Amino acid sequence: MRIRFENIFRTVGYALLLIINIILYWFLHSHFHFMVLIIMAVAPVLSVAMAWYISSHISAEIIGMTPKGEYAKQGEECFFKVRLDNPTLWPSLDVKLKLQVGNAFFGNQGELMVSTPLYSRKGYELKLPLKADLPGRIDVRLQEIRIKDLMGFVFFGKKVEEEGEVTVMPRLIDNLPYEKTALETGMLESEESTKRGNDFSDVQEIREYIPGDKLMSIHWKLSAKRDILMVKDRVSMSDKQLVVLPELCNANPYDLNIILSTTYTLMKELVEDKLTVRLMYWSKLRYEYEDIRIEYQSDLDDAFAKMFYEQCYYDMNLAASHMALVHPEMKSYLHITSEGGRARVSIRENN
Amino acid sequence: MAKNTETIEDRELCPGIRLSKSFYDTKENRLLTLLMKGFIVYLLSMGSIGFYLSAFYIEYNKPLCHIAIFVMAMLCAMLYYRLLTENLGYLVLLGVFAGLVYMFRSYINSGYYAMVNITVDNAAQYFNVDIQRLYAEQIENRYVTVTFAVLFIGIVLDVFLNVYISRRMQYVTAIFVIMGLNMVPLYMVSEPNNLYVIMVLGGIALAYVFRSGKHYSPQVSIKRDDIKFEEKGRKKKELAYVYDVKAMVNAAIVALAFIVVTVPVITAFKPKDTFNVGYEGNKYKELTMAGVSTVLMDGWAGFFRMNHDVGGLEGGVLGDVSTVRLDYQTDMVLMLTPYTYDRIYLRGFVGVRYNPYENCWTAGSERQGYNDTVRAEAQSLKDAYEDDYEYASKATMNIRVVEGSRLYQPYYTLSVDSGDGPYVVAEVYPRATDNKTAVNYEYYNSVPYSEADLHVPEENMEAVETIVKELGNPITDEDIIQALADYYQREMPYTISPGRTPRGEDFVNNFLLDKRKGYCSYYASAAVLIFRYMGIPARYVEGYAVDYEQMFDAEYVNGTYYADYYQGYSEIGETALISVDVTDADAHAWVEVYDPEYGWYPVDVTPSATEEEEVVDFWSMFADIMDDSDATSDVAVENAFGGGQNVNKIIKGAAYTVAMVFAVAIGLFVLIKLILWFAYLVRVARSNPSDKLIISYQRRCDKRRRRDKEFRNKLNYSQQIEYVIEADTEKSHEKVIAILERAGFSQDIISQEEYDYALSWIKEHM
Repeated sequence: MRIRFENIFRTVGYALLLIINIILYWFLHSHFHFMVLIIMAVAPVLSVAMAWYISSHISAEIIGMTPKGEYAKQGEECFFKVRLDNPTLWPSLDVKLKLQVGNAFFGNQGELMVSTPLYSRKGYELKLPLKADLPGRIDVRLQEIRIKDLMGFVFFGKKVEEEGEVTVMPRLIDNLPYEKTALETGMLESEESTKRGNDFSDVQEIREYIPGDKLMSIHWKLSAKRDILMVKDRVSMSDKQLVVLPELCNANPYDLNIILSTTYTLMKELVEDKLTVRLMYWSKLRYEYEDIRIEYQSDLDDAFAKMFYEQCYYDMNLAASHMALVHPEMKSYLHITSEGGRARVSIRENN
Repeated sequence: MAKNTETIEDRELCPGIRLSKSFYDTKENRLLTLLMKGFIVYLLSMGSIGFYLSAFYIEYNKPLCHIAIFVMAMLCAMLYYRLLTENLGYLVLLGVFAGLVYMFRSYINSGYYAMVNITVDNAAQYFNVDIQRLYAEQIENRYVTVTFAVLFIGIVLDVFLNVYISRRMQYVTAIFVIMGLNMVPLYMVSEPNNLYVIMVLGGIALAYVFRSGKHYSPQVSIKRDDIKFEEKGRKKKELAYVYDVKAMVNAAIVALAFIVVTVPVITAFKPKDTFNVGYEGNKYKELTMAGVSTVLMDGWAGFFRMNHDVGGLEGGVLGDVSTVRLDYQTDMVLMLTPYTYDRIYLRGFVGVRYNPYENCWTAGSERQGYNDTVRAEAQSLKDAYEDDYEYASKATMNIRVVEGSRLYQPYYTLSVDSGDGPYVVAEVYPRATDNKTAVNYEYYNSVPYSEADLHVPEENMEAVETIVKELGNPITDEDIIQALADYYQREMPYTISPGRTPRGEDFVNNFLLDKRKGYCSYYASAAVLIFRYMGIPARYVEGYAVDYEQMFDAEYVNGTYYADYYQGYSEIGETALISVDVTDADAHAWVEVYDPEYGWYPVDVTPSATEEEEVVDFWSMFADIMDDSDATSDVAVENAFGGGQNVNKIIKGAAYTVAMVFAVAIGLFVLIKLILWFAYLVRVARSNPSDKLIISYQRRCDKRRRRDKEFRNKLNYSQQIEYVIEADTEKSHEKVIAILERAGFSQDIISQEEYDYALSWIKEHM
């Protein structure tokens, strides 16, 4: 806990008033000035003691909130509630909250000092409506609470470490600037891969054989046990599964923003088309690829939320450059980069 | 960010994150905040008044005063609710207040004087001095008058403190305002009631706490549609809440509780009654007591008053007084036994030679043998008294001059004895109306008059001749005196505000030829020269004139015998010895003329004052402006409360006041509207068709918003136009919307035809 003078002139002014009263008391010897003298001597002590007492009991909590759903959307408001809990009887007319607001994914950070009141027995609830122009993870940290005494002499500073966060999904792009043919090419590659025996599909259920089912679908072991032909009913997604690889390059925040928006929009459209896609990105923290399969919109949002805990890098080709070494089996994938302020979606093949 | 809700924008906290402007939208309860401030003003106003009055045990209607001052404090605070209420509210408040003050001015004046008198009484007791000079209270019921005065002072304090508290919480100014006068009882060791100590200290404590908290009031420039947060600090880095009524209430409770608990606790440990027991006093305070005593008795003017108040008379010096201002305080105390219904003149200054352009009289005492002449007259009357002449008498008068050092003596004073006490004792041989004793100037070898008593300066000759021609042809001295008195009464009205004599002009000439109005010294000075011109020896006299009616208000002096103070003939028979307070209102100038048989005797040619000329104090001056009736306002008010005949005049006066205030308010309103209209016309004239159309459109929208609640929710051109033309089948509005949107949002300037079309449509539909 730190103590600092709020305004030395106030203290000097008060001292002057006190001196004037002392002189008047000495001169007039009135009961009134005697009372004023006592009050003026006691009041600052009580005031400072109250502030100290508050500062030793105050606690804080930060809650990130979105207007709808689990995640906020880029450009729309999200909220942070800073709750101060003051269990004491004493109020304060000036409590300063030293806040750090930033986008952890982009590495942007700014400071905000907010002055609020503090009610006795309750505290205060500050609601900060924030708008994120960039997607990522918005976090608000409360670093210090400074409580001013009622008479305005001192601040008691209390260090705290409270944090709240909200994940902001990228903005959807209306006319996604990618070439369908490229995407189709990617799918063909995927089909070829399937034909070669690489089956990425999952077994959805096991049922009895129906004439027309493929022989390769028959679950031979189970059929032998039951004496009846059973087939693995596959969700044949392998022929629709795509790998999307965005470059998390933050050489320019606006480029990264475009990459994220393009990736998000593209994958959202694919998911809406009932296609299963895989989101891969290079994790600088773990030094390997993250590979997340996306089937539903919620998978996509969760994947992005997870991605926003990553650290960006400054090489626009870093993720792709590792691909041949780490995933040699990956013949092709959609590589999303940005160039000249515009997104670039291209089919990359491992050579 | 400008401090206006309309221009508040999102605030960038870091790249990519903005604090939404909706953060500022939260509103705080302005009404409760203002009431809180009003409460502080009430504590300070009522506290400071109660402080003073309780210290001197002055009684008044406390509940009424508390309620009225509280309500007024709240009203004053509420004036800051909107800019309009602030601007117009003070005007209306002033008007209503002025009207009420006008109606009750006598009560307020009397209450104020009562408080001053009580203070002076206390001061007299504390400083152990004998004080004769008290203000005359027109209304005796102090409980009522002090209540009125408290209400008046309280309301003035409410208005005054509200300016300092509601806006800036300037507690230091408040302390000086409320504690300035309250030092008076504290100086005289009169302690106030603890309730008012709590109120005063509570008010100061609240103002101090709020001021220290820095969150008590929106800046003046902030639009009154409140915002909860604003940017503060040198670089606007801090976001601070503007004010929060709940926090203010919390803080107020803590501060007030502290004062409410502390004051009684201190008093319990150190009671007021025994506080100064054993205290021997402060020698430095004792050094100031003489000065403070002077201030309390005479006011600050007591330090600077070089010439005491003698009703505008300054020992023969003429023309320097613009307006006679009377303090009605006792200048002289006269102890006598009344013996005549006529005025008793007490001479203080006798002017013989008039000095033109120097505008002064040279004193008669400077002339050799003058005093012998005066004594010869008294001696002649004494002889008649000693010879047991039927109408002769002897009076002994005790005279104590309170103001100044000049000696004032009645006519026919033979001798004065200063004695040891404060009074001088004059041996006087009054000349009753029927006393025809001739004066023997052979006594003391005196000369009754000289050439100087007939001298008219050459410079005044023309002016004097002009007046003499207008007097007709009176023959005897009595006729001449009467003719001049009638002329004065008829042609030259009395005033106490004649204005100074212009620099470089002669006093008498200016009075007779130009000004033709004045007060006693004007008439007396000119009359002396006119009488002299017509052959009557005359002198200019200043002093005091005591009327018989004043004797009724005098105090009886107990333990004295009539015979010790009066013997011989009396017009009114045997009376008691009385003590008369002679004030500066009794100061007078007159003429004394010489009669060959009876010697010098006083002649008063000053015309009687018209009632309007009784205006001497602020309230009466105010009343004089407001009321053209010829009744003196103070009397009117007193009668009004006795159910008298002047009620209508009061109501009329109050109605005029209120009507005038409203007329001014309406005039201002119309003027502001005209200025705005003119500004609008200028703006339109300078604009291109697009701007012109938007200006006209906005104006009509504003009008429509005022009368149509639903229209206020229509936010853009389409919504607004579609709202007003629901029945439009021709779809002409679409064209109008298109024109408006081009005019409002694009760089293109619309054509004159489009402008005319849209405007005519708007006029038709909106």
